[in-house]
Formats: sequence, C-alpha cells, structure tokens
Amino acid sequence: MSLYEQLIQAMPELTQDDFDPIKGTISLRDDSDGLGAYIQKWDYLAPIPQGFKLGK
Amino acid sequence: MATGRIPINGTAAIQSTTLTTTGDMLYASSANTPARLGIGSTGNVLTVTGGVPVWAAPAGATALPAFSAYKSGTQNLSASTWTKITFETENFDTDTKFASSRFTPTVAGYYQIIGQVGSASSSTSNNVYVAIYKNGTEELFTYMHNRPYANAIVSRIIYLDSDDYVEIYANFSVASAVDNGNSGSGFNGAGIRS
Repeated sequence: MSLYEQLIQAMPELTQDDFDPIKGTISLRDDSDGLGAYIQKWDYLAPIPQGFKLGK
Repeated sequence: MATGRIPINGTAAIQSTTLTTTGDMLYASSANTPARLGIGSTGNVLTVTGGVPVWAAPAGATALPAFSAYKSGTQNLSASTWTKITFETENFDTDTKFASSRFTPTVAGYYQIIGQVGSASSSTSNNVYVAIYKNGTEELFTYMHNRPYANAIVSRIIYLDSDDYVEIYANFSVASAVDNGNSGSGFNGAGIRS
C-alpha cells in the first residue's frame, strides 16, 4: 500500500484535492533512492496522524 | 587576371599585386599606407587588435555540456506523489555530465532544460504534473489534466553554477507506469551561454 493510500486510510476525510500540487495542503515525495515515499509538506488543518512523520 | 594599378578616385592608385589571394582585403596600416589583410580561416570574424583589423576566432565559442536521455525501463508511480523519474538510456551526453538521472554540468552557465513525462494510464481523470528540480528543490512545474495517457512537458532556461544539478520529477493523480520510449518520457539539456 502506498503512502498516499495509507494516509487516506488513516484519515478518511482526506481527498485527492488535499494532495493536489496546485491547491492541496499536503505534498508527498519519493526520490527514487530506495528509501520510499515520505511527507514533504503538511499544511493540512489537522496534524499528521500517528505513525507518520514529516520528512525522510 | 587584372594587373597594374587599382585606381582610386581617378588619381591615386594601389598596386594590384598587393592583393595576392582570393578574399584578401585592403586596409590602412597607418595613415596613407595601404596594406593587405589576408583572408582569414573559415568561421573567423573581423576584429581589431592594436588599432588594425585582424581575423580571429569568435569569442565565447566554448561549447557547454549537452545531453539527451529517455526512459527505457519500467517505473510505476504511486498516486499523488512527486517522484523522481529515472532515465535509463542516453541519446548523447557530450561531456559525461548526466548520471543517475541527474544532470550536473559542472561548468557555470545558462542551460535550457526540458523534461517530458507521460502516464500509461487510460483514465480520463488522470492529471500529470512534471517538474524541474534544481538541487532537490522544485524550480517549475507544468501539467496536463483529465487526459488518458496524459503527457506533459516542462522547459526553462536555468542558471547552473559549478555544482548545481537538475532532475525531473512527476506526479500522477492516478497510480500508473511512466510511459517509456524516446517519445514517451525524456530529459534533455544544453548550455546556451556561459
């Protein structure tokens, strides 16, 4: 399950619009370095859910 | 072949033998002193050194690095995640400055950078964003919305110093493979001036 899917599962109120590069408040990133995806930006009104962190 | 004197204003004259070769030119090496300027080499430009005209190689003609690469391998992107795109095959790489899907020219200058990324998704709601990242930070992105097999191109002239580097990232709203092949997803760059 991708990080995007995990976050949607942890916070069902999140929609794809929240991750939209133009108007979203959350940005996910994967540097293709084998370390996987991580949360690059979290400006959503609620804090990052438990079990997740900002950055690599 | 003309011989004798070349008349000037009907009074003065210059020996035609002054000009010995096709393309030779006349100039004044000092006041009232005609002189021959021999033809220069192909590509030379006329400039002035020491107060007289001379042929010389054009200034600023040093070539900057250039490269062209495209995706030939398989890469699957998760939805809504900015992901570095890997480009496995080079069309050319003039100075071996493209490695690990990153262009690090090492020569300061202005570079035209072009990234193209396509999605293999047939979804009509797919949005494709493609970005140039400079030193790991987004420089610019463009997008194509709501198109099956969407394919977006981003381009900008960027100043890069001796240790700057650029990469291409993409973000698909629908998880899918990256379109590969020379016309599917590519990364190109070339120095245009120092």
